[in-house]
Amino acid sequence: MAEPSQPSGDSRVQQDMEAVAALERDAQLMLRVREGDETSFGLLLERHRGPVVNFLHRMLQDRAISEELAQEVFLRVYRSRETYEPTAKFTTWLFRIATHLALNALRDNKKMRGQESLDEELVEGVDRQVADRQPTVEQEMIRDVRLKEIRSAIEALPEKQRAAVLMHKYEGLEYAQIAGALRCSESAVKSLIFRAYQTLRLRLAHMAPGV
Amino acid sequence: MICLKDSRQGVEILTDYCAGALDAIRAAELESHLHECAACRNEVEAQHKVWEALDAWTPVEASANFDAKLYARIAAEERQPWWHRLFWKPAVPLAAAAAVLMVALVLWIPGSNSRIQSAPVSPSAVEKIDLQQVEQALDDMDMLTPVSQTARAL
Repeated sequence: MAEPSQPSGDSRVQQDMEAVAALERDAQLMLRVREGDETSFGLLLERHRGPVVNFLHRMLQDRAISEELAQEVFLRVYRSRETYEPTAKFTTWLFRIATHLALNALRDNKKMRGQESLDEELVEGVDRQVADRQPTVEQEMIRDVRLKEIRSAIEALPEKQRAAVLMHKYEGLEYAQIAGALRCSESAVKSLIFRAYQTLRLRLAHMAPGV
Repeated sequence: MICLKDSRQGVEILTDYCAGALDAIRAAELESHLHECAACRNEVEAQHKVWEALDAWTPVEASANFDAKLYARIAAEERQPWWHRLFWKPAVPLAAAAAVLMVALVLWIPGSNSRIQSAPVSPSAVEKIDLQQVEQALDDMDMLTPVSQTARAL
């Protein structure tokens, strides 16, 4: 049996150093935005647009609404530029706003996702993959079915578990950052993530032997 | 031998390992344990498979006009009258809501002449507007506070 592996110590140190540099860079950029530098806002947007859009997309599973909310996130960042203080990681603050908007949208039943939008996006995904690697029709079908199951499994998670596991798995946020975004303790975040992965393991068990 | 799989903290360590979040020394210690413990090895494998399955959900690209739309929204907001923009500052709507509430209370004090002379506004309507304003104000205040309290923990 192949032994599981994780990134080497050196690469981890490198990642940590990059994270520290990124933290300083984000804070510096935001401070420049506070001073009226529009270019710095553009750089922040460039750096964080993708993660915010993807987080919201996976939370709400509706492309149009997630983009609208992602814009709202950056609009709120821009609005608050004059009062910004670098007291926490910029990413924590950003995802706190995104999470707040996503949870509100879910609770207010603003999420109008239906089977149509799901199917539409699956078709878009297939189109992209055809261009990249030319999979067979069967491979496409298998991929679509798997993707649909994953999306359903994520969607079935309770809202906070969903937010926590998405930030942990896809956005690489630390427990402390997720705790800041969800406004709960680190131990509560660990508990949310633990339960979410347990549920996902059960729900996705049929996708691969041993899961 | 103590099995990590049997404790909550142990399972968290295994999850961190799968996420690549353990430092080199702790990862090496865990790998040594995994070499001897089939239960933990199975746990790590199962977690790895969940992660691999989730990887199938690849990221989407933001639409090509995302930035343009955002900047248009910002520009539209900048064109608003100064007093309208004030309402995005968290304290203002809260103060306004409090003022409306105070006025409503004063007008509705039993025996007050002003109650008779006041405009015929439904109390339920006033209450509804106040609640919405307060809720919006609290949301804005919360979002515009740069996590100062949670920052201590980070």
